[in-house]
Amino acid sequence: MIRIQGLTKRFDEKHGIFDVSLEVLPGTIFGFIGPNGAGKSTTIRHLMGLLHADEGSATVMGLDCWKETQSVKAKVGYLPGEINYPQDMTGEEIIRLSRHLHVTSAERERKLREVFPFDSKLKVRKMSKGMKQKLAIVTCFMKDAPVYILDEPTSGLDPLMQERLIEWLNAEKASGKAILMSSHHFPEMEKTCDRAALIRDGKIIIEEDMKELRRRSTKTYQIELRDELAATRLAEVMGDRDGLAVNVEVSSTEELNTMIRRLTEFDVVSLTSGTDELEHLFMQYYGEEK
Amino acid sequence: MILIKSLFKQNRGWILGYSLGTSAYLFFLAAIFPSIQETGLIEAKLESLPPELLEVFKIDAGMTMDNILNLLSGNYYGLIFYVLAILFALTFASKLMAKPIDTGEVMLYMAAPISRVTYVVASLVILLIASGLFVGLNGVSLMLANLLFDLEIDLGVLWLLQLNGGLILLVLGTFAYIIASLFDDSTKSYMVTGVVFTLFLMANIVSGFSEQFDWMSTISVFSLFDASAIIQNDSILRSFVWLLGLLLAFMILSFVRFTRKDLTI
Repeated sequence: MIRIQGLTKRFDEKHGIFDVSLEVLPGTIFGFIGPNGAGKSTTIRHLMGLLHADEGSATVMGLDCWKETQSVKAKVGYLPGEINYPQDMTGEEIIRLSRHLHVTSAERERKLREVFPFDSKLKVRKMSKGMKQKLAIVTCFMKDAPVYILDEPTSGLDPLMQERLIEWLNAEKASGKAILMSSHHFPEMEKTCDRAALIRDGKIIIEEDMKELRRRSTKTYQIELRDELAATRLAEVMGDRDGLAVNVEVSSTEELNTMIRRLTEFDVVSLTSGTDELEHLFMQYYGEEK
Repeated sequence: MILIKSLFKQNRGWILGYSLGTSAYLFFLAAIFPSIQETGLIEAKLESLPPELLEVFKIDAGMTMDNILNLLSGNYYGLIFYVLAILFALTFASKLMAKPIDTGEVMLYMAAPISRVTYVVASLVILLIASGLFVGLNGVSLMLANLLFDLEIDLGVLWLLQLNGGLILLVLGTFAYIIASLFDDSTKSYMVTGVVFTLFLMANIVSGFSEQFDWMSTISVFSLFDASAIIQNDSILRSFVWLLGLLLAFMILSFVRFTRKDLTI
């Protein structure tokens, strides 16, 4: 449904995107991740027909995103990273305008307003970031599109709303929609994405199925012990000591079970998991940059 | 149609501000004109002014102030109208192009199945409506004053003035729109457009100082709106042809520029 091949846009020698390729299939969510300024939004802008590529192509359902942008946008629901609606319009006016600008479904709109409630009588200038995000989510998904492009969709949402959005995205996926989602929020990526790519300095560094990424990732646990002697003893068999705590990296279920068995011999005060698996993996790639 | 409706709704504040504000000014000036005329002070005051100053305000020293349009040709339809036209064009370009791109507000429309050509067409329709309301209400307010205060206004001349003024607004508006579409930064586009318009204005003013600077009027778009010439029934066909030509050229350039522009919103 979404296909990007060898997409290149040079703003100058170092800035832009270079030879970016990816594909998002129907019934899947593709996670697009990378540090600030890595090229995520630039790639998305090509899909929305806002930028003209120097090389390569971007298509949605076989339609060229630059030459046939009007047809592409008829098939795409778009949630921008920065919500910049006209400040003097109310939420209701924006929803009403969206009904006219897009082909929308009244039933979907009703459901969305139930799931993501907000005061639609307020003017945009009076709305909090979270309210603006909910308004953008409603206007994006009230269009029953086969393709969705979402730039940081959970930004500004409280945990309950994040959870509801994840449920909504998974339902859309189950109904066969193709979703490209850029995000910094690793838990939501783990819960929704089937495939993910990391972009850095305008280049795709890694692109894999989530299962494969999880298989390759390691997880860190911090185990706090009662005294320094115990911490030293544990560090001798596994992990690195840090005061009364020991940090242990686990990269498979076998290693996880071994760690649990060993811990039964110690007086453990607390056990906390470190960064999420996916986050940890991506942090490794982020780290390579430094 | 929905795009035009929505853009008009977003912009009606400043559009009505210019139209109603200037129309009210004209109406009140016309209302007090008979009493000003009775005193005979206008001619005396004009005679006392240096010719260079009269030229700046495009006042013909030989013109008798026996009609409101004669007074307006030097008062409103001189420097005041030029400055208002500049502000009007800057406001239009800022509200429909520079600011929506700078802030990202235009994404509301760009995310919809609307082509860029449609957006430019809708913007130009808004410009047409805004210019039409501006000069239209100006004309209507003077017609109303004519009815109420028996000012003996030549309606043919009045509407020719409005038509010429409307064309100037359209030309300046489309020009400012192109400049705004050249930049992603609205402040930069205001500055560049402001500088160009100020140069036009200065060239028009300086051209009146002496015959030596006469040529400068040819580089200023404001020389294409000469209210005194219209009132004296001089031929203004050349000005109209030029204005229509410039308008067409600027409209084409607006389409060409915006449909090729990279939007980093």
